[in-house]
Amino acid sequence: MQIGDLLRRGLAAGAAAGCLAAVWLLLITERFINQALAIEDARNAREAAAVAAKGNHVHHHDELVSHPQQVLFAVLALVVVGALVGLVFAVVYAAARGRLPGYHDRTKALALAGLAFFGVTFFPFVAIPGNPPAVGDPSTIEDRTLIYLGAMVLGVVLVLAAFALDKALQGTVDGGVRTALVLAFVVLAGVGLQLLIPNTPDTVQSRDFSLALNASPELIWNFRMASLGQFVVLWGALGAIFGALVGRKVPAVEARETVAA
Amino acid sequence: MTPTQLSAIRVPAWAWALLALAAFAVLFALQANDAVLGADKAMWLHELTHDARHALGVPCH
Repeated sequence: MQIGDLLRRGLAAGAAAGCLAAVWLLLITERFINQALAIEDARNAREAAAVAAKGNHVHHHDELVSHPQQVLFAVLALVVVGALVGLVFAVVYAAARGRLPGYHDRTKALALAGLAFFGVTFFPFVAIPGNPPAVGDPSTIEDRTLIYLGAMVLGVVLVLAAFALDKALQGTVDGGVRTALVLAFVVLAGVGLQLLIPNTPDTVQSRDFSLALNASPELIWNFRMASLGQFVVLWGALGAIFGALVGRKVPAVEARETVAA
Repeated sequence: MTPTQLSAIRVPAWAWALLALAAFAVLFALQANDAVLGADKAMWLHELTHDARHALGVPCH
């Protein structure tokens, strides 16, 4: 088994996982995006009406891209992003294989997928959860992106620190106790880091609009759960498919290597 | 029989570079459209990736 074998499998598993996440998007996430877009349209119509009421000329600018095009492209984007994430996954898997829990590639790949979900999805999600359209303040996108990327980096650092702690405790503390200590560290350090990460600069729903022109808390919550579920599908499928593809190849190869040795 | 621990697989430098490139490509596609493209094309790609960006929890309007 060499890096090239892993990369090809990562690419394939990632693209397949992206397809499954796209199915989730079409069936579930899009429902809430559509509800939010209706709110945005109502808001724009009201602003246009206010401009017209003042006797000013209303500028209708054509949409650059229609919504069906955006949906179609979202499916494509998920497959491409899935494949790229699969490549990253394969490289990290190669380097981490010896340290991941489990005795089989299937278990190890699922474990890495779980760690990735925690570090680069769940941890940043808690710090700055995603929102449907009609919620974010356009003027704070840069700050929010920095918080998001920063939280992602901290999530990865937290996972790496947990592995470093596990290694440091080897020889001093045994199996179950060591796992408990490492988990306690992750929880405490995780909460501590979350408290250090600045809050989103947006006060959600800060604009002076009636509730009908704002996304309701229910819509925001439903969207967030849909988005998180989509990531569970993406990472879960990536880990399961990658592990199955690698696990199928390994026994034969390693048997041959043993014979050769 | 005790199961043997599977070992790490050597990652050459080019594979780490590939990892960095793939990570940058994701960032480019979802948020930093203007990192490579001019303003017009960046805006077009930004609009095109609108739903994907929201669905993946990337900050947006």
